Amino acid sequence: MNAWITQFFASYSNIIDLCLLNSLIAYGLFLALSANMFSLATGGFMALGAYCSVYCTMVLGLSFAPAVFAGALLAALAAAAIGVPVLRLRGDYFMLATFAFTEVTRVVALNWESVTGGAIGIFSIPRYTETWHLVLAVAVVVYIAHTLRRSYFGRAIAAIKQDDVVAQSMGVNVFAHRLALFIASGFICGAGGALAAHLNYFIGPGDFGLARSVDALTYPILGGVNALAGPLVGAIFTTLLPEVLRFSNQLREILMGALVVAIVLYLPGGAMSILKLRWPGATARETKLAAATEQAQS
Amino acid sequence: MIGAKLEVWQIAKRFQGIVAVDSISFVAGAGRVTGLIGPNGSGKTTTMNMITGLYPADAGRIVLDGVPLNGRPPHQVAARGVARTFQNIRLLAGQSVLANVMLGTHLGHRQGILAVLARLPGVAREEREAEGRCLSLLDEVGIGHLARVPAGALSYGDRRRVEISRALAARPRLLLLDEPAAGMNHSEKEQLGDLILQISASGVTVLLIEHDIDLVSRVSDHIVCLNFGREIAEGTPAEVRSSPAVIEAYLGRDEDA
Repeated sequence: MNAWITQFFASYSNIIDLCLLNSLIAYGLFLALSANMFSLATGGFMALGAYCSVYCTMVLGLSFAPAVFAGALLAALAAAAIGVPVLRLRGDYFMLATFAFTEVTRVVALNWESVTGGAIGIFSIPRYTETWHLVLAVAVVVYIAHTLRRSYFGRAIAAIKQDDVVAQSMGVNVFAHRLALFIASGFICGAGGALAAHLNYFIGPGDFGLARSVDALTYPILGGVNALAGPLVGAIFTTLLPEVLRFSNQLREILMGALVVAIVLYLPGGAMSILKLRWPGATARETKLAAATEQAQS
Repeated sequence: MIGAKLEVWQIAKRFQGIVAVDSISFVAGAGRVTGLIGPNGSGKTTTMNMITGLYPADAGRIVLDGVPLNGRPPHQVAARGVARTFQNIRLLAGQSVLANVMLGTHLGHRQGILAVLARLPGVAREEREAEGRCLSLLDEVGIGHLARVPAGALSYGDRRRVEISRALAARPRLLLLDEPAAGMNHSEKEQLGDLILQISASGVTVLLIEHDIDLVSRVSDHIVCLNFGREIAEGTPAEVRSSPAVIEAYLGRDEDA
């Protein structure tokens, strides 16, 4: 049995690490989405975290922990700098502005050869990231998200998401809360980039483009933004699916796309809403709510 | 608790050339109920939105107990002790009644984010106190038994009570009620009138926007009547109701109103 577990981890450790890394980033986006910020800045934040941490370990000779912290901090500072003007924008304009940030970061990474290695990227990065680092990072972020959700901060953020006029009128500083969440999201994505860089031996500008930002947004949305486990479920699902569909290389992308469309169409609350359909307790509660609503309307 | 005195001096608001509020001045005396009446489109809600900071006033001054409110964002106005309800009820429908009212306690929380994350005992105590206060507020307005029900499942009248409870949870010095009786039946309006008098008796200054002239007359110490963005009459309920300008505004002169 023990040997079996060891073998399991040996053969699947890469995919486990990837699941954890994507979960971490999914929680970064979860924080942003919890105040309606559909951010495409993830690629940019991850690039800043990755290049900065690699510079710290490979050029400055810092040890791993401060390097990751420096990368995350740089991404958080960038989030603060772009957040102040960009958070005033709504919906699609916010998305475009954050996308522009990711593009600018990518172009800088492509051209600043002395630091980033240009289009060739940086090779033979020491592999410092271990699975338990990723587990710890995800656990810390989940703890923070869980604790905040149950506090008056969580109530304020939920109000901002549903009706920011109400939130303001009850004394919630909407801008400060959104900025803080955006900075936290930047910090987590920066840390994710730093951990990814020291996991993969290699980073290049192409790793952190629009595709990365869109994927990161997909995880929590597929998993469900209303449940704490949503980002984890979404990230693991999206990471494992291509592996499971390996039997058909051609069909893989098509099946993947079809599944995403199906979830968005039939489970608008994300994959976590399946649990609601299956739990008898939840169903009973909903029936009661429906009855109460009917009664209230009649 | 002592209510705050609200002074509004010649405030004005235009929306792309359309004059919503031309020039309005009135005083809501500390601890009193001031009624703000007028036909649809006379500028009542716009006035309220300017007082709460949702719309910046184009001109004029808004002063609360000597402190100017102009130019302050809504959350700062709320922090000065101003709470409100909305004409088109704005509750978080999926959340419980209690959770909605708890949002009103936001400004009362003193524990910082680090204390919350460290789960210090003070955080739980503060949360329990806030919850206890909200539950007793719900009892006071008569919907204590609905605390755990999703707000979206409530009747119209009960939703209005949740809105009032949420505003009261903020411990306001000035409470703005925007058409709280809209959609209520006669007995609900009676109860609402009692509730407003009770709130006023606790010392809170109330500014009441309302169409139901009987309700306004019953609870108000002072009534201001608006039409076309200007005040056309002001005084005690009896004075305002007998004012020819008010009768004309509501009933019209030669044509239909």
